[in-house]
Amino acid sequence: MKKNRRRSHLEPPVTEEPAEQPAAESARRRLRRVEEEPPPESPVIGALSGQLPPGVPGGSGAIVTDAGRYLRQAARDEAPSRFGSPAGDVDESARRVWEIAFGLMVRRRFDPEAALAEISRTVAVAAHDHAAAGLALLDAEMLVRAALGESVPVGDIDEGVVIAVHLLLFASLADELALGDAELDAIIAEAEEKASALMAVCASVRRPAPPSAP
Amino acid sequence: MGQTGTLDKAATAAGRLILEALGEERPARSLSRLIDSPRAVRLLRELFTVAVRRSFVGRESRDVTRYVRDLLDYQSLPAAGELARETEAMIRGAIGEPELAHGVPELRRFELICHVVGDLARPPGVPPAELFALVDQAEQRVARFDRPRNRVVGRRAM
Repeated sequence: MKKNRRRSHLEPPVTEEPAEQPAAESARRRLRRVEEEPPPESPVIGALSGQLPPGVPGGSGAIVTDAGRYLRQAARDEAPSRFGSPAGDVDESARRVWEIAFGLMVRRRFDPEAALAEISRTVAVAAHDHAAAGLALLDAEMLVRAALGESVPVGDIDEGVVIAVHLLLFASLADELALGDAELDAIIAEAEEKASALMAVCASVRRPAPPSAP
Repeated sequence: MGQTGTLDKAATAAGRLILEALGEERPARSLSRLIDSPRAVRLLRELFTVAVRRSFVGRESRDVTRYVRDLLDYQSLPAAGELARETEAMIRGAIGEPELAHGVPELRRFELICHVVGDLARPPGVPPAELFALVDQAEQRVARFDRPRNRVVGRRAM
């Protein structure tokens, strides 16, 4: 009974359906239930995450996620991996934090109409500084230009390359701008907060509204 | 074909082959059939450099991105991914950023050269006299770079 009431909240209102065979109806309901339920999220145990810890509000200006701390290490050249991507697993929220932090840093360094030569020079310096990572120059340049809002071909860049560019270019730009610890932390904390808000919006779009209390 | 006026002006057989291919209905495809002729391929590479430099040197670098998008769209090729980046890398490599094109595989280079030369140097957009001048300049570059004193040891002729 309770199950039926719950489902009635999830389903769109149905108007005067013709009578159906009971077996066909129950099969259809099972199918619909499967379609309605969001895919089970399977967080990788031990993966580096960008999710705010439970009970910790964002916006305090302090770095509170593992992804944020890793990014800070990368910016200060203290990360365990020198190839950009961390050695272990990385979840979606961590990638989101790094992408947003990269975008914030890029827009702090360049105007949207910055000369391409200026961007290329910065990318070349970053690639030189992090030569061990073997950054692809044009991939990195395209990701910078995309972060500035330009329509450029960034399709099918490997996920590992994207992470490496986000982390290492972030580090290089922080160095180029000579950011102090407090400024660096503020950018990362802002990225954590924005990523958290974005993930919450994405989750609410994916998940149907919970049934209201009786 | 319509290139008979310029065909006999090319100094080399490779030049004549390229002029003939450029006069076909689908120049890029016709140029790609020259892959079995090392001399034509060598000349085509220099023609690419000459045509790209005449078209893009002195222009805003973002024009290259826009040109590549238009070219690939026109050819019904994917314009938002790796192919577009490689094409841009090849063009910018020819106008002063050679490091960008280092990672592009040889066969892909040849394909992209065919597409770009087939577009930039195809008649009637390029008048016969200008086309002849382009090929002539490319032939001179081949002759210059292939002199013994200018040869780079270990350099692979494409």
